[in-house]
Amino acid sequence: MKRLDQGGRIDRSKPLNVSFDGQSLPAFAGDTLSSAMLAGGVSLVGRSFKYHRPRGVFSAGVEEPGAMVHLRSGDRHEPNARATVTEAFDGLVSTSQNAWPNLQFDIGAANTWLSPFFSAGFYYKTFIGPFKHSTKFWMMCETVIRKAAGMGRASLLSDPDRYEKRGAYCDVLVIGGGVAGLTAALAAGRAGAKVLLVEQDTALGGALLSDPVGGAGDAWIASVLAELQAMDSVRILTRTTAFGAYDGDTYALVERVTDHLRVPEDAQPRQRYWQVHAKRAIMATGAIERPLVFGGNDLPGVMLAGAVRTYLNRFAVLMGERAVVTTNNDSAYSVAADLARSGALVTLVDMRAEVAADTRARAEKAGVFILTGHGVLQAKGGKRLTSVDVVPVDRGSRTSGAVRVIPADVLAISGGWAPAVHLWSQRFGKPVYDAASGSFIAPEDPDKPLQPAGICAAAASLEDVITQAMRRGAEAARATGATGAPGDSPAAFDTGAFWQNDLSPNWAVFDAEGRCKGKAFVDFQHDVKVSDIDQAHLEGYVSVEHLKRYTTLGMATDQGKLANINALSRMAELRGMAIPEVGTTTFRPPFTPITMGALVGHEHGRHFRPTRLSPLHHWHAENGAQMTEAGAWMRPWYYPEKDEDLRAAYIREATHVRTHVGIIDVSTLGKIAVQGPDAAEFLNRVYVNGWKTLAIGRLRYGVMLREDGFVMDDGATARLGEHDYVMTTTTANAAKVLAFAEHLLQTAWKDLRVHVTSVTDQWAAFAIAGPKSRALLQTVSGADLSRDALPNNHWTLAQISGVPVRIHRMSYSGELAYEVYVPSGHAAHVWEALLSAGDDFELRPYGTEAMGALRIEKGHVAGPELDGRTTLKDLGLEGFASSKKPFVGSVLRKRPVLEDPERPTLVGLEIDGDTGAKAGSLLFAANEEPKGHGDGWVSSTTYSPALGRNIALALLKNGKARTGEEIRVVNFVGGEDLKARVVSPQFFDPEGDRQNG
Amino acid sequence: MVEVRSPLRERITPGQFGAPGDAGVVLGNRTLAGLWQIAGWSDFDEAADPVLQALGLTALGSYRQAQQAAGVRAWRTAPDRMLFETPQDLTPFNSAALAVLDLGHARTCITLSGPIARDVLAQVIAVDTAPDVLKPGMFLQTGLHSVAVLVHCTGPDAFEILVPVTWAESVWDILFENALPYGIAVREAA
Repeated sequence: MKRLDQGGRIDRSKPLNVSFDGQSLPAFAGDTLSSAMLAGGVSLVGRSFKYHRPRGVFSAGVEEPGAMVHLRSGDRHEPNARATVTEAFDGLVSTSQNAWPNLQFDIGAANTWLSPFFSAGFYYKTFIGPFKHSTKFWMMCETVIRKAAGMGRASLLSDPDRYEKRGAYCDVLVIGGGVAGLTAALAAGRAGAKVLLVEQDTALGGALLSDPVGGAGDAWIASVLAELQAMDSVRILTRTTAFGAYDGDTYALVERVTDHLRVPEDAQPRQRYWQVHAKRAIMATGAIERPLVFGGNDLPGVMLAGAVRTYLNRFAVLMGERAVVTTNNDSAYSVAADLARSGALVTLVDMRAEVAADTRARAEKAGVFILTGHGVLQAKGGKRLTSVDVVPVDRGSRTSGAVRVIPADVLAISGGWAPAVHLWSQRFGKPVYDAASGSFIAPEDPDKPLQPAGICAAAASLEDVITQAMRRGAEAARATGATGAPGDSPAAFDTGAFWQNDLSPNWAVFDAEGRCKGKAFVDFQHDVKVSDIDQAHLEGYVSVEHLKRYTTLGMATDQGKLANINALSRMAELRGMAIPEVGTTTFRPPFTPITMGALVGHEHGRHFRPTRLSPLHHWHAENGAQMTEAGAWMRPWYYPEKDEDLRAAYIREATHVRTHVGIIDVSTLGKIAVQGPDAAEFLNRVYVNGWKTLAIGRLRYGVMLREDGFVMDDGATARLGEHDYVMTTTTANAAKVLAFAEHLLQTAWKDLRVHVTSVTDQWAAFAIAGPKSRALLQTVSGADLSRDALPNNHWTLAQISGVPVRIHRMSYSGELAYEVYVPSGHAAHVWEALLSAGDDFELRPYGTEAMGALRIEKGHVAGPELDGRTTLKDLGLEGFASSKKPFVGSVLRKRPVLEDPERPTLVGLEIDGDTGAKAGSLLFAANEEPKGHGDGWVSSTTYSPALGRNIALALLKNGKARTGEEIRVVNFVGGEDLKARVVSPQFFDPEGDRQNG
Repeated sequence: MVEVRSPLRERITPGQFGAPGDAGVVLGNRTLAGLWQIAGWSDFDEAADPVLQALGLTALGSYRQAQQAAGVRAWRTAPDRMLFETPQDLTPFNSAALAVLDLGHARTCITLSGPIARDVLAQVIAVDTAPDVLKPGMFLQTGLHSVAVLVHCTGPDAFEILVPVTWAESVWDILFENALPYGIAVREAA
């Protein structure tokens, strides 16, 4: 292997610092990592998956099965990178993977001697093992298999790079920037369509980039590209892979924005995920060369013929002075000729007995020695190829003569080409077999919005490619409404022969017994041999889908790009069928591996989901609140003083509310405007209690059920005007209740003239609770809030520090309490005014933990009790239900199962001792063995400052009748077993004197 | 009169951020002059007419094209709903036939402009933002970072995004994050 002094599409004026396993590589701008490796004489790049066999560069594209490496280091470390599509850049550090202690001497290579034990399905057989009715054998194997599995090692560090996602819309998406893609884009663009042309390579031109520099192809590309670039309606993306085709004519692309740089600069993303909506798409994705199968076909030095030509002409790397090219088709002849013209001694071994005279003549003129009717029986060498055993073969690929040993540095193989129909298959299912080209293609169907063009439709000449692509481009544009003329086709020029002419179906060389000699690989990445397929067949695997899974063929990161056709060929032979009868598998996205980062985009960390903030959020944070998540909201949990922990802080805060006055931000409550002349009727239907008599200036607590009779939510609703109400919901259920209401109004109750609108953002809300709350609010607002002027469940308008507010008299804590509703843009102003004026009343903020303690003391239900499994009766709320009107859930709540007196009902628990009960603990009778689900569960728990003990709310079977009973509270997870006494859930001020005072 | 505090007050730091050079995107925040929703039922055309007249508008308009009059912007958000940005108090129009709702504190307006504004928008909403599709004067209601927003194209490369105030910081942050590669100029809140 050597870099030629001239030629190639590399920029020799820009040398790059690139290394592999510490070895410096002679790289230039325009190189890939693999071309730099080959130029530097690196033939051993990796070790195979199962047998740890030496593997080198096999291809020059995305299908690469062997040259898989680690890239970069630290938090940018990337495993399983294909060296063939990794652009060389200054500072690129790569290392080998799947080898220990090193690539040259890999202990895992011993597996190759144990290969009889690692044949197809060995993994599944460990499930059975030698021990009857036992998984012991599998358990023993599992550790070893799991440790050995995989190739590269991923980093555990956070990815420091940015990834973007975006949408795009176009008339015609052209996938592939080779001759077909460029031509189709030209036709569609000329016709006036909005075109998006994407190419996974760094440059446009496709297979023409593998031609010698300065040929007719270069002029062709330049001419077409210049015209495309001049069109405003055409957008071109290189370094962009279309990896998925989905319903709704949606395509997923990934653009490698800065993968060719050492690190992304200037806040640029590493990769960008494109979701493209295209009215029509053209798949000009070319074809992938098929390997031939023979012993040692995985040795470093054995390569796809097209790749050998790419390295020679694009990267100026001659793979060897002594080259053998073996083929079953015409396409490899130009490879052999180019190698010979570059000074290599070339032997072309053609499995066909006859070859077209002009094809043969061209190669021989370049100096190629041609052996027809021969095949390669075995490639030989240690860690790289040294010689090739060539034998005469008959039409059935069996050896028919003596072995001839040919010394060789490189063995270029071509078994025909497989059109890259992956995207079509992802979208529409299985492709069909085309006997003429020996390949699977998309069936002709002009109605499909995704059409193949060029080589991927098995076009047999450059002229065919251009003619077909022009037609596809024009048709696609016309289908989107474009009316312009596509113009004349770009002229074709002379190329080497394509693979379809006289393609032989032979794909492997067998000995007289019908076996390949040595280890002959079909799937290089997963180490699946011909003998593995044979074994699967012997074990009865007749379905291609089963064969795939049993042998793991086609299931590696290359997804069978090289393996599928050869595997199907073997299956067909074994079953005595034709390939189409055996069938094929369906491709699924992605076409090539993509990073998780590209799929995630910005939606991770703090952008994983949007966060909802109260208008007072920054006040809480600046004043030392410890925040907690409540659904999408961030809420103040507690405000520690000095070194207080949560427990100390909430006990202090709750105690302060009971003795003085506290203020809490309850802006997170759901708030829904209910407007319209039928608003009262609407409320009557959604709530269990009656609303027809609620007067303006009043508010009422309400409970709503789901249609199945279980409690959905509760809250207070105030009547603001003749046709205006404002409903509050729990923080957790705000969106659900609004959607529920909208659904009913737009489907079942279209007769009601009612609108519901969320006003959660419009209004901030603060609860002010405690014996001094009235005095504080009267002082601040000047309003008369006396018991007579504003009794419980009434509201009034007032002003606080120049801001109009609405004050609701209601209590959630059992204290004298008010809720102040403030336009959210004034929330901070009013909050600060209250706190300022509150100094004289010892006003203190309190958080959700103290709020929880207060509501548990009072026995109010909240989220833990409204968990979707409880009924009105369970919660002691059945008295609210009106018997005079129907409401949502009124029928199904009467189901016998929900009326069962044994159902768990809400009780209070006084816990013995200093340890509080954990929520979720199970309840058992005092003399009962704690087993199973028990008699109920603890829903909410706290230390009660007012009672000076630990208390809890719980749902206990037949709870009301068990008041006074001693029970066990068992937390199986935490290993706690507590004693408790069943009491009324209203622990504090059950008569309501304080809140009604 | 007490100032309406922007939900982005603590978030906005005027200056230049992200990629160096000329900013591709200008981000800012504007407090609405007042935002009102009117909603009606089958006779919405008739019921809304007095409001339209008072605001200098002549018709309910379409669901894509915003309307403008002196000091007023209007968006037809549903067959029986409209949204107005206006300093006028529309409460007097509230009736059995027309539900009037003050949403002036419920939304804030994030402004997004600059030569790359459309690209940034394409990264955050699943709608075609091309100039020949989303033209000046058009608006759409969509999800941005899972938050329901109204996007109004106010110029060739200028947009205003009405965002619920409690979600505003998250929406601002995701726009900022997406705009960083193009260079951002953040304007003082207006």
